[in-house]
Amino acid sequence: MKTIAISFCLAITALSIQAQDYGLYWKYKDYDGVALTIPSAAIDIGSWFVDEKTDRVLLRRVNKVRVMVFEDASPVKKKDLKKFDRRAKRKHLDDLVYVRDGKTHVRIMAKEKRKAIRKVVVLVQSPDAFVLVSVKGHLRLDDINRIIEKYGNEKKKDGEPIVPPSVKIPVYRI
Amino acid sequence: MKKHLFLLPAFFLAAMFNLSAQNDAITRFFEKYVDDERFTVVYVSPKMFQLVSKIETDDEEWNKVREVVKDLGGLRVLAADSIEDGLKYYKDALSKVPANEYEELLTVRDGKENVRIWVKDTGNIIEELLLLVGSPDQFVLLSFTGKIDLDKISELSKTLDIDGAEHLGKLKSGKDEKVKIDSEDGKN
Repeated sequence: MKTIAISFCLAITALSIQAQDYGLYWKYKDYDGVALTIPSAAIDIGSWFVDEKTDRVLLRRVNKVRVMVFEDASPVKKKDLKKFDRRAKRKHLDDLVYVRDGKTHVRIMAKEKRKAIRKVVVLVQSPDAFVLVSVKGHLRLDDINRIIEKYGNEKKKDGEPIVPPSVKIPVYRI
Repeated sequence: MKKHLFLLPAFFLAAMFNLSAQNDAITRFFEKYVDDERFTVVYVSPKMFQLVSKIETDDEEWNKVREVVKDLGGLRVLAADSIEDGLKYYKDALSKVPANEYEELLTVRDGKENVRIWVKDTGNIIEELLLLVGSPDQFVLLSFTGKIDLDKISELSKTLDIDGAEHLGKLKSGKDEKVKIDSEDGKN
């Protein structure tokens, strides 16, 4: 009975881990490319070396970062991307911005829960490259506010116009 | 009489279908070229605007942007900056704009460049703003949805990094102020 209970718990844990990136990372992480997961412990250690308090606070709210990059040819199949879409929709990961320039597609998705951004996924697809960046955490909107205030003021001192990055759309820059 | 009553639901259904078909004319135009590599496509979802509007700071510039986007529902852009026959696409898009739904707000013709802005409103609220730019080598179709304040949208034109969006700066408050400019050297 104990064995069955442990197996059941392990199966549930494995499923929930896979659900974090809706299967895409787990399926392709061993292909010829770059795939890395930065756990929260490593992010915490990294935050010790950040001087600015606002940046440090925001960094500590990040639980996990996953990056997967394929540079020469993307092995990611359309079928799996569709599956990813379906799962993302089910898990309330909403599309924020979509840009297509030529053959390059960029998608930014986020999941928000109780005034905090719980997950941000950036997908870049082109015929010869594929990039997946997934940031999981508890990024409170207040912390993002502080970052905007800080960098907004810095730019003001330089005399450059302030253009919020979320509104400035890089149409001709991709 | 009974026969007429039977036909009533069918009439309403047909009317509804007709309305939705008109609404979708611009959407269909977007969808037609969404995968065309000559065009750049941008879609900013209502969720993005929602998120931006929730971020409150003491930064004046940011608060200006917040004010603008808080009521916006979404933004779609279809743009091509080095295209052959940009005027053909301009005319095609022009023919798709349902004249009975949209009211023309601004028309500018400068040389071979054409700019038109339409709005769709219910009562005093502008629900959609459509910008169309066409020249021999350029085409831009931009659509904002949501509750739109023309003053605020013209403010947003400064922060949008999209060719053609600068024309939004020509908008003035009050949609009754229709603007029509034809430059003297315009031969189009």
